Amino acid sequence: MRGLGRGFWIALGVLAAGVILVAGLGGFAPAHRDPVPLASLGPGDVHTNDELSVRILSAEITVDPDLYLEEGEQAVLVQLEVTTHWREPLEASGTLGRSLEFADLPEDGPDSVTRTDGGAAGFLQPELRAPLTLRWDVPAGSIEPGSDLHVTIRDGRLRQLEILGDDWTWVDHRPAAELDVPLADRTGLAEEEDE
Amino acid sequence: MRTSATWAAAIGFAVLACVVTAVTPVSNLAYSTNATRMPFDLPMTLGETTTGRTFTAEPTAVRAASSIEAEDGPVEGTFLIVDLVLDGTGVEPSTRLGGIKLELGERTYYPASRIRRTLVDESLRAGLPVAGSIVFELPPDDFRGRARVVLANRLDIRFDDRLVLDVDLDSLEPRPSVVVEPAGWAE
Repeated sequence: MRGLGRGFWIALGVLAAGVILVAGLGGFAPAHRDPVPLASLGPGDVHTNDELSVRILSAEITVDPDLYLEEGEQAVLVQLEVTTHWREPLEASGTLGRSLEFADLPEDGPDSVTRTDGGAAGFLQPELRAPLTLRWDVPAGSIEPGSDLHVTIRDGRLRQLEILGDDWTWVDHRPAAELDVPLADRTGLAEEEDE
Repeated sequence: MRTSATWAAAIGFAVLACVVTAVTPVSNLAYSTNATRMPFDLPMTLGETTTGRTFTAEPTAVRAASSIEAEDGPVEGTFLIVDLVLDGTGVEPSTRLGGIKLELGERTYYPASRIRRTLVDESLRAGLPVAGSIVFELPPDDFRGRARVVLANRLDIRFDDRLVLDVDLDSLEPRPSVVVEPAGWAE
């Protein structure tokens, strides 16, 4: 052991002191993440985080002929208002896909995201409120009309994409709020026509 | 040199390197990703043609409006409309303005997707000038100060030029209703 020299023992001592310090400060304790209690919202309530404000207005299940649905399909429509507070425009459908979670609906996001007042959703622009409609085409009967649509809103964290660049992105979205939106039943339309 | 002097010099240089890195603006760091972009801005003036590498642009008017007459009824909002005549330079067979944005303070806006048939979708070919508009929608409370309209053929520019128009939003009086002509061949 003598052959290792004094430098080795100094380095080992410094390392040991560092380890003791980190352990003393709780650095080796298992990461402690209490699930944060989710804020409970109602339809029409606004949830705001650093990335955006979301206000879910209403949901419906419909067979409206204007939607050109396939045979045996129904459309779930969710109307909401979104405002981004980030300084760059955010692509609407990708952003909503990360921030909103809809129970019982396909996880890979809505089939379309359009502006409620007409036109493509495009980008969410800084501090500009965008009224949007999300649409899913689902097999008839897979969702009970009149039931509640459970929505979870997730908060993201801003992260620099490249340490030396100036590209920023919102990542690490975690549930922060939840609400139940009654699914208005507009499936009667087709049956009336059939009879 | 004594051992302690060597150590002191090494630590000193390391500290100095950290200080230099910390005080240098990110965009000027030689190994920063921004150093490979560095667009150069060509200023535009109303009524004059400015020539970039892949396209030329002549801003003919800058307007503000609180409603735009579209094919299927009026579109409400607070809009900045820039009327332009664009042409390709022939460096590329066909160019699109894929990098149009408006810089206002530290915020960036892309052209409003609600207004259709603007210059955003036009292909530019040399000798075939196209006239039309670019429309931005802004929050009503933020329609003031100086804004920069940036035209480029892509958002991620690498050592290429951008045509920039300075707009004084305070000097524009929003009109209650304006017509935005669909983009098409210029006269």
